Amino acid sequence: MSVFGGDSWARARDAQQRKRRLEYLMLPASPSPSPSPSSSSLSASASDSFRRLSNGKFACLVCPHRPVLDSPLMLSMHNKGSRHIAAESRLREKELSRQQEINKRLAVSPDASFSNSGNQHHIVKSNDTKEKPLIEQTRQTILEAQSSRFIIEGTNKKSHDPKTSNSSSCDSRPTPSSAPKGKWSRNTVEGEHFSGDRTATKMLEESQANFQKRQEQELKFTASGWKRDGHGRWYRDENVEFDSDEDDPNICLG
Amino acid sequence: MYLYSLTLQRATGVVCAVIGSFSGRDSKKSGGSSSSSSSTQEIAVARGTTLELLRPDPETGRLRTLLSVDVFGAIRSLAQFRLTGATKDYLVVGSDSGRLVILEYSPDRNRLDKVHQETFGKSGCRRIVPGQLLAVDPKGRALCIAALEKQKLVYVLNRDAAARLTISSPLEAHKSNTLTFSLTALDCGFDNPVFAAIELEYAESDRDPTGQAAEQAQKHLTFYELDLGLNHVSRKASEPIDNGANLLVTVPGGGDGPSGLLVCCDNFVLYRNQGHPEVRAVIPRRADLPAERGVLIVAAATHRQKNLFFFLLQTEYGDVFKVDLEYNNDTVSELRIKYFDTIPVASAICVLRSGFLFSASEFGNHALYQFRDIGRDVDVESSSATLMETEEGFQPVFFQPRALKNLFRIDEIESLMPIMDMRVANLFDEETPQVFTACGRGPRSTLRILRPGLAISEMARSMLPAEPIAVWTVKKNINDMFDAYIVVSFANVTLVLSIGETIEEVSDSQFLDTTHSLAVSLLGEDSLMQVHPNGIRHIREDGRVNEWRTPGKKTITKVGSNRLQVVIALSGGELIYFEMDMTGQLMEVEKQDMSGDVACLAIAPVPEGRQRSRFLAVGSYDNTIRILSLDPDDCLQPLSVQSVSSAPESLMFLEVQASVGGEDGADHPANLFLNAGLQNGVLFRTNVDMVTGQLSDTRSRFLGLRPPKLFPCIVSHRQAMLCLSSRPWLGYIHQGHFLLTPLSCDTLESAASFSSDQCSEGVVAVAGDALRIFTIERLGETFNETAIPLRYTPRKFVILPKKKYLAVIESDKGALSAEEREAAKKECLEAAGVTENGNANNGDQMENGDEDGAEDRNTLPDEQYGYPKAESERWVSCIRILDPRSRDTTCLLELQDNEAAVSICTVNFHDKEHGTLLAVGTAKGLQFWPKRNLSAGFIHIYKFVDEGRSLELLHKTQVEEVPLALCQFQGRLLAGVGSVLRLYDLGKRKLLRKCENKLFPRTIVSIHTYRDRIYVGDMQESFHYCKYRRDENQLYIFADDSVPRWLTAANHIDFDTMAGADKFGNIYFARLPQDLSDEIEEDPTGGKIKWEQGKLNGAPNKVEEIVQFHVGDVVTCLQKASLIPGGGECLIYGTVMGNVGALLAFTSREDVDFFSHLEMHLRQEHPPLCGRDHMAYRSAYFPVKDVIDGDLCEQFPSLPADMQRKIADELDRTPGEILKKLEDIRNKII
Repeated sequence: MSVFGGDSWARARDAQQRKRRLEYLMLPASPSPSPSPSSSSLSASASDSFRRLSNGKFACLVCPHRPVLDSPLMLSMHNKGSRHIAAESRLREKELSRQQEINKRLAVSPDASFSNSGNQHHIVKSNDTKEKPLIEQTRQTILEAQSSRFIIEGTNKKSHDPKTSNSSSCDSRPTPSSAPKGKWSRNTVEGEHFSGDRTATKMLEESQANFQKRQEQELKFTASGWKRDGHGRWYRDENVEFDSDEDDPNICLG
Repeated sequence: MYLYSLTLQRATGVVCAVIGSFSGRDSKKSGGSSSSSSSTQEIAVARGTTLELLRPDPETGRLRTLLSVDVFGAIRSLAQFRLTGATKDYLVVGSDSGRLVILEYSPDRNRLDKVHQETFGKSGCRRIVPGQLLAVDPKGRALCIAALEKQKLVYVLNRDAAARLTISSPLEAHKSNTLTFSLTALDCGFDNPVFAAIELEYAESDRDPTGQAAEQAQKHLTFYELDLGLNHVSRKASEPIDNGANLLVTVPGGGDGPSGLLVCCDNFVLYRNQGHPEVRAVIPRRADLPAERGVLIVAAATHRQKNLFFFLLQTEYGDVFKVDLEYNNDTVSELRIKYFDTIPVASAICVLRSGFLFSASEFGNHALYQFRDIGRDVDVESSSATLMETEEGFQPVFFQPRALKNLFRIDEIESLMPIMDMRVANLFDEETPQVFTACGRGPRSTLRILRPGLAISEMARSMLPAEPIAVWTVKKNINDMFDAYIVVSFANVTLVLSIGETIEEVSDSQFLDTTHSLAVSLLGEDSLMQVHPNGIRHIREDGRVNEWRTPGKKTITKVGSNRLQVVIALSGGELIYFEMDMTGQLMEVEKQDMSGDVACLAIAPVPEGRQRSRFLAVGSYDNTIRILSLDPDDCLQPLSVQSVSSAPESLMFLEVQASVGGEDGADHPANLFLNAGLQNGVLFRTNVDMVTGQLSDTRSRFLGLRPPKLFPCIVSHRQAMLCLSSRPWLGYIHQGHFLLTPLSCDTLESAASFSSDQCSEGVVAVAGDALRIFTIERLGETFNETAIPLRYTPRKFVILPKKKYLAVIESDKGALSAEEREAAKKECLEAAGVTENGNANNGDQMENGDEDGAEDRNTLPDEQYGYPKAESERWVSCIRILDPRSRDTTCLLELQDNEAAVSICTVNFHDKEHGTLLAVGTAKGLQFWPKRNLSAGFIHIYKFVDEGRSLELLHKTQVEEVPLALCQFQGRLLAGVGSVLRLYDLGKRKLLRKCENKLFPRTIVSIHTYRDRIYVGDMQESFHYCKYRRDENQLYIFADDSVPRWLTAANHIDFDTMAGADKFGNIYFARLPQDLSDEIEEDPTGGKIKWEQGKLNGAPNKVEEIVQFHVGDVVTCLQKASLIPGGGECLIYGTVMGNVGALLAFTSREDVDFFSHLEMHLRQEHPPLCGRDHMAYRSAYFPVKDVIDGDLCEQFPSLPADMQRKIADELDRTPGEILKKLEDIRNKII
C-alpha cells in the first residue's frame, strides 16, 4: 500500500515522518552552493539564505522578490539559477561596502557613539581593534573623558530611559563605590585577558576607583569655578565668586 | 495627549451686578397672603464667564444661588429693564461676543432663555466693538450699547401684538477719536429717551506733536437723544465737564425727581442736567489720607421709593456716602453728601427693596447687609450749600471712619478672588489632599484651605456615657413639624432624649431601655415602634404598648420599615412581614425562609396615595440583592436579583419625586433608586422600575475603607441620603442633578435627620462617645474653605516638607508698615478723644493681625476699612511661617527699608552644614511707573531655628535686578535675576556666583528643574530648556518656544514637557519632540550643544505646543496633583477670578472619541447663552488643541429630554449612559 515501505497505515505515518526528518537533515547539506565563504560575517549571511516556512515550504531570502519553493530540491535548483546568483553577488557587495563604511567611520570619527552599539558593532570591536590602533585610542580617550558621566549614570537608576540616559543627572552626588558597573565594565573585560589573575583585577579596579575619585574631585572644582591652563595648573575663573577659605585644587590635587 | 477640562469651582469674583425682578414672581405667593404686591428681587451677577442669579432669603437672611450658567464668553456689562406695564425684568448682557443678548428668566424651568441676539460687530474685547458700556432707558424704551471708543449703538425696544419684546435694528451714534468713560440713560419720563456719556476727544492731541493739545484735552458730558418719532439718534448737547469725571448716575425724573445726572469726579460729586447750573459738593476725605491722593467714586446704587430717593456712592477706600438732593420741581438747590458707613471696596453695590444691600466685593468675600437705618442721624456731611472755595481750591471736609451704624452684615459669600498662589498637598494626613490657596489683596488677604466636600456647621456636641452604636429621631405625630425624641442605642441600653428648648433625657417615653435597639420609627399616624433583638414594641398614641415577641430563641437581626410596613429578619434567615391594619394594629402577614442569613433589609417608602410600598430589598451574604414583592397576592416573592461585588452592608431606597423644573430642579420623572453600601466600601446605586421591580442602570462608586451605612435625611426639603464610610458622604439633588459629595467632618458611626425649631434641617449623628448635631451648608459647592487672615497681599508660598509648615511672602505697595499703622492709629484715637482702653490688645493685634475676634477688640479692623494709605511708592512686606493645622503664625518677619519680597524657595546646599534653608528674593524701591526701576535686589538666606518655627537671617546678597524666580538645583541655588539665569553657591558672607547665562530675552519668572535639565520661563517669551554642564561649569539653552507667551504660571509635567499659562487666559503644554530630546541626551562629547546654531533668534531646537486651551481668565498657578485617593494625576489651576479647574489626561481613545463627539453635538445643539461661539471662545488666541471642554459636556443634563435623546441617538447610546460617562469622568477628578 504504502509508497514508503511497510504496509500498515500506522507505519505510513512513521514513514512520512522519517521522510520529513530526512529532508530536514538534508537541508544543511544542500545549502546554497555559495562559493567559498570568505569572511565570517559573510558565511553567517549565507546560512540564512533561505527560510523554512511553517507550511514546510522554503523561501529564498537572497532574491529580492522572495520566491517560495515547495521542496529542498526545488530550492537547490533555484539556487543554481542565474537570477539567484546575480542577487547573491549584489548582496555580498552591499555587505562588503557597509563593512568598509563602518570601519572607516570608526577609524576617523572622534565621537564614535557607544550607545547604539548593535550586535554588529561588537563583532567589529573584538575582531578589529588590534589592527586599528586609531580606533582603540579614540575609544579610550572618550571613555576617559566620559568616565564621570558613566559613574553618575550608575547612581541614577531612575533615569527616564535607559537608552538615552547618557549624561549626568541632577541632585544626586555621584559616589565612586557604585561606579564600576554598567558600561564601565566593558573596559575591564579587556584587562582580564591579560592576567586572568584575581588580585590583579582587584588592583586594577582599585586604581580605577582612585582615578574616578580624583576625576570627581576635579569635576567639583570645575563646577565651583576653577579652570585649568595649558600646563594643567588650576586658576580661578574671573567671572566666578569664591569664598575666602575655599580649597585650592593646586594644593588639594597636587 | 488629550485632556478633559473641568471647572471644579466656578469663578467667585464679581465683575458686575444688577438688581431686578427677573422672576416676576410675587413674593408672598407661596405664603398664601397676597397683600404685598411687591415682587421679589433677584441679583444678576456676572462672574467673568458665568452668569448667576442670586436671591436673598428674607427669612434666613442668606443669599441663595438660584441659577448659575457658564456662558463661554466674557461678560463685560449687565443691565436690566422692564417694558412699561410689565411685571418682569429682562436682562441685557454685553459681552465679548460682538452681540447684544437679551435674556429672560423662566422661574418654572429655572433657566435663562435668549429672547434676542443681535449681532453688531466682531467678537473679542476690542476697543471699538461695543459691549463694555450699557445703558437702558428707565422706561424700557431704548437701550444704548457702547464701546470704549467711537461706537455707540441704540436699539429701540417695543412689544408686538402678542406682548412679546421686539427690538429694532441699531441706530448709530458713532463719533470717531472719542473715548467714552461712562454711559447712562437720563430719566426723563415719557419724553424722548436721552443717553449721557462722559467723552474725551483725542483727535487733536493725537495730531499735536508738542503735547500741548494733550495737556489741554477736555472731557465733555454729551447728551444723545433718541427721537422716537423720527427713529433717529442725535448728539444733542456736549458740555465741558471736570476732567476728573469718571462715573455717571441717573437721577430719577419724570415726576419722581428732578431728572438729570450725578457726575462723580475726583474729589467731587456734581449734579448736572441740560440747561441747569452745576451743583457741586466735595466728597468728604478720611482724616489720615495723604494730601496728594484724590477720592474717586467706584460704585453707586440708587434707592427709590414712592416719594423718596437717595444714592449710595462708594469711594475707592470703601467709604459709602449717602447723597441727597434738595429740589423743587426740576431745579436742584442743594446736593448733600453724608458719610454712611464703610464696607470693603465693591465692584458693584445693589440696594434691594426689602431692605438689604448687596456688595459685590472687588476682592475677597462678598457680603449682604441689612439696613438698620438710612443715615438719618447726624454725621459728617458736605453740602453744595456750604462749599467753600479758597485760593488753594475747594475746602475739604474730613471725617473719621467708624464702625457700622446704618448697615449690619448678615451674610457673606466666600470669594477666592484673586488666587495668587496655590499648592495641593495632604498636610493634615486626611483621606484627600487639601488645596492651599493664597487669596485676596491688601488687608483682606487670606490663606484659604480648600477641602473637597460640603461644609458642616456644628450646632451642638454633647458627650454620652458610653460609645453609642446607633441613633434615630422620631416625631410623635406625622403632622408635627419637628422631631420629638432622639433615641440613642448603646451596646445593651437604649437612651431616650426629648427635644424641646433643651435636649434632655426622659424615662416616660415607654421605650424599652434595658436592651439595645435595632430600629425606632414613627408608625402610622401617631404611634411609635421600637425594634429590639427580642421583639417589636409598638407604642400607641394613648400609651398602650403592644409587644410582639420572637418565637423560640431566635433574635431579630435586621429590620426594614416604612410608615406602614415592617419586615424583620430573624437569626437563621427567616423573614417576617408585618403590615399596619386599619385599626392601627401591627399584623403579621407573611413569613418566608431565606436560604441564609440576611445581611440587610430595606422597604421602599410608601408612594403617595398608596396603601403600601411594593418593594422589599434583601441583601444576603452570597453577594446578592433581591427585590421581593410586598403585594398581597405574591407576597415575599422575588421580583429580581442583582449580584454585587461584595456582600451588602446597608440598603436604602431613595425616591425622587417627579419634578417639572421649578426653582431648584430640572424636568425629570419620578424615580426610585436602590442604594447599597457594600462591604468593600463601594456604594452601589441602581434604578428600580416602579412597576416591575426590575433593576437597571447600575452605578458604583468607592466611598472609603469602611462599608458605607446609609441613612435617610432631608436636604432643602427633599429626600437625601447620608452614606457613612470612613468619611461621611451626602447624596442629594441639587439644581436637578444627583450629587454625591463628601462632608467635611470625621468618621460618623450612625446618623439621622434632625428637625427642631432652632434647626429645621439638621443631622444628628454619633461618633465615638459624642452626640453631634449639625447642619449641612452651601449645597452644590465642590470645596469648603477655612480662611487664615494674612497681613498683606500674599505673593507666593512654599510648603516646608518636614514640619508641614507654610512659608508665605506678602507685600503691598502704598501702605504703611504695621508699626507705623499702630502709631498712626494711636495718634488718631488720641486726637478723637478715645481712651486707650477701647484698644487694649493693640500689641497682639499688631503681632498677628489674624485673630478671629479682631473685629470685636479693634474698633477699625483693617479687613473692613482698608489700610491707611501711604505714598504710592512705599512698599511693605513680610515673611511668615504658618502652621496650617493650628492656624498659628509662628514667625513673622517684616522687611524694612522699602523692600518687597517677590520670590521664595527652600534650598539644601550640598556640602554645607545648615540643612534646609529658605531663600527669599526681594526688590528694594521697586517702581513700575513711569518706568520700571529699583534701587537694588536682594536674595536673603534664612536659617530655620526653633524646630523650623522661626527664621534667622544668615546673610543677604545684593543683585542688580529683581530676582523673580528661585529654585534649588544640584545642591545650589538657581536664581532668575532679571534676564540672567545664575547659579549660586552658599558662601560665608554671601551667595557666591558660580555660573550664569545672560541669553534670556526678557525677565525670568519661573524656574523648574528635573535631573540635569532646567526649564526656565520667561515673562514674555515662554519656556527655555537649559542644561548645566558640570565639567565646563556652563549653562546652555538648547531649546525654546517659537511662540511669544506672556507667562503667568508654569508647571513641570515630564522630562520633555512643561505646562504654562499666559496672561491672555490660555493654558498650553510645550513638549520637546522625542527625537530631539534623544539627540540632546545622546550628545556624549557635548560639542553639539555648545556649537549648534540658533534658529529664529533663539535656541537651536524648538519645543512644540501640544495642547492649547483658552480658559478665559488669567491663570495664576498650576499644579499637578490628584484630588482623590488613588486617582490619576491632573493639572489643577487657579485663576485671578477665583476659579479652580482641572485638566485630566484621557487614558483611552474611545473616551476621547466619545467626548469630542458629545462636545461637537453640544456646540451645535446648545450654543452658549451670551452668543459667543463655543469653539471660537476656546480658541480665542490659539486654536484649541486636544482639550475637551468638560464644562460644556456637563451641560448635557440641562438639555430638554428630547434633545438629550437626539444627541444620545447620534452617539449610539442612551442618555443614561452619557450621564454615567459624565459622572465617571468627574469622579476621576474629584
